[in-house]
Amino acid sequence: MSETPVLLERLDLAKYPFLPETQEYIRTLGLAVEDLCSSAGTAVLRRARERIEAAIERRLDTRLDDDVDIEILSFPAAVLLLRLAGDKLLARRFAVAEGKRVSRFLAQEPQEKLVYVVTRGFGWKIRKFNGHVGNLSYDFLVSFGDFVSNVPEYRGLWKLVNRPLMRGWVPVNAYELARMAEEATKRYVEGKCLEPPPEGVPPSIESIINEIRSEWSKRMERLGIPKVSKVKRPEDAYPPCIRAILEDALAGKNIPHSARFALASFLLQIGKSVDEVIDVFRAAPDFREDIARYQVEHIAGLRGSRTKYTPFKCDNMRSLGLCKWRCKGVKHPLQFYRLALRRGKVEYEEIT
Amino acid sequence: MSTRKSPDLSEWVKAAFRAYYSRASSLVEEPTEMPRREFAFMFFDRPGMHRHIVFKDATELRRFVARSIPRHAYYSSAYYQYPDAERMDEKVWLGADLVFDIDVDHIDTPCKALHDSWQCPKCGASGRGFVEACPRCGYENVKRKTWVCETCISVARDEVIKLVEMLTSDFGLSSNEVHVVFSGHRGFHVHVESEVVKELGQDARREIADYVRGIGLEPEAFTVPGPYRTLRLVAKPEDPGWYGRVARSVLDWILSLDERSAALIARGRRVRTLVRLAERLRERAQSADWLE
Repeated sequence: MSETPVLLERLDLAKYPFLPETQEYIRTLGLAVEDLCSSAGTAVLRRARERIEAAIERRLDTRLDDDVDIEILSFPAAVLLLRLAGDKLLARRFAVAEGKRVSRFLAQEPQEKLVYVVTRGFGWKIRKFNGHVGNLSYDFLVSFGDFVSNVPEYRGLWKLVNRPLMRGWVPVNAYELARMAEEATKRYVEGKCLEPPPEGVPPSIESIINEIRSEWSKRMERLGIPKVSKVKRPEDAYPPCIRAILEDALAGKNIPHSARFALASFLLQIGKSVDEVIDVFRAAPDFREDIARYQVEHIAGLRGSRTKYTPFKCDNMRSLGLCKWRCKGVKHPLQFYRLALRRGKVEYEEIT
Repeated sequence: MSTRKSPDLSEWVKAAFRAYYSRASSLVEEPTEMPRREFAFMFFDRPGMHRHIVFKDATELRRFVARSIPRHAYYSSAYYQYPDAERMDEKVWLGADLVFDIDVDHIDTPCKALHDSWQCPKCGASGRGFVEACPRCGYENVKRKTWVCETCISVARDEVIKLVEMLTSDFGLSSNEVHVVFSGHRGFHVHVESEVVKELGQDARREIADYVRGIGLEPEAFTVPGPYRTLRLVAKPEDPGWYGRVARSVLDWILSLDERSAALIARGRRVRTLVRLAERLRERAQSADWLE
């Protein structure tokens, strides 16, 4: 549905860095890495750094610099800084912030422009649809592949099973489409920031990167696993899914393979030793120490591919039938553990 | 194939395979986009799985099979830039088909009592049919003897028909993008070869599997709060996808209500009201075409 002509302004290029038009425009401006040390380059770098700092401080930066070209160029400049910094977590943090910025802009656009930006920028297939199913009304149809690849979470109305699905098309409203664009932007930006860094970077840029790094590590210190935990026993900080499996294991019930993997990988990740983990499985009806040791060592990354495995994330626990709970703000069992240590408890409810 | 078998026997089996391949290999439909897929084989005279093999077309594959007489042949549902690379990260994943595995041994069919039996190694109990765990001592790793009969296969086939129906009506896939094959023993594989699914990531694939299995359904999606802590169903029987399925099954349940089943969910005068509602709906349903 791109028959209606949509006029892009230069300001749109500053809002939506993933558009082919934006990239074409940046190419015509022809800014090279060396130019970043010029006076115009300094302004671009300053704005780029602002955007990264806003991300570090979890501040939504929807400012648009008066000089539109500086605003446009500050995106590739920020990406360059992050490629050079080479920190995956920081790249993710920046990507999240840029995603929010884009969805904020998109929510204010007329529908024609919203559709243009997501079809042109992400290649989504979209149809106009003014109708309702159940008691909800919708504005568009997106193809199911685009839907399941760009939803922010797999529960509630974002879960495909709770949506009408008509011959491959999923109805969404304008707000939801902008929210999906946030996810797509996040992936796009993260991918850009993870590209290998270019060579021949001027030393003045090096110093900026070092400053960003030190700000980021200060922030990270506050987020790590706290030395003083707020729970009495570490088990109190386990998420309900892991606690349920642990109880079954200790009670000698025969638990499925997927549950054993989740439990073993969880315990190893929070610092239990291989022997401590094997002890947990001792009551299993089919327990054999040699087999248990082999498998636990494998999960610990001491054998085979040398990968230390992490437990399944919440979405996968749910699909495997191991999760019957809804934990507030939690997407991964290990995240529950860290939050619980820091705050003393995490709110959750059982889904019936 | 055990090494203790007499050489004559294994030669005889191999000859039978050779005869079969020369007769039937032209009948087997080759997978699409062959040069992008990895093939793997197991042979009679060599141990282990031989992987990372690529064929440029069906002729090359048939010639290989006729010459080397494999006892098992596999191909990847994934497409790779370099399917013959030895390490997974060197293959460069380009996409994959969506494949469903429908296996009858997870479905409790009535015929299992006729041809399956179990024995508990812990307490010695035994019996016929399908059990999850030993009914006497609760031990879960019981020894099973199973057989797949025509009834079993037709149960699996019914599930396949439901799945294909869902893939075409809900997901809008065309019948030439959905291929059903007999898995060789206990059920069927349903392959979806379509550009729509090819590049989907793991999460997206799990979402589709969850949709097919009805995992993650939440009542809030199909209802609004009504008076007295009740939920009012807003999904209608003719709605698409699970909206329609949920509404139809609720309706089926209401239509089936009688005095006894209504008494399980209501008390006093409300039982009578429910039964009368069911009767009225049954009368009206005579003319509705979405009911079976």
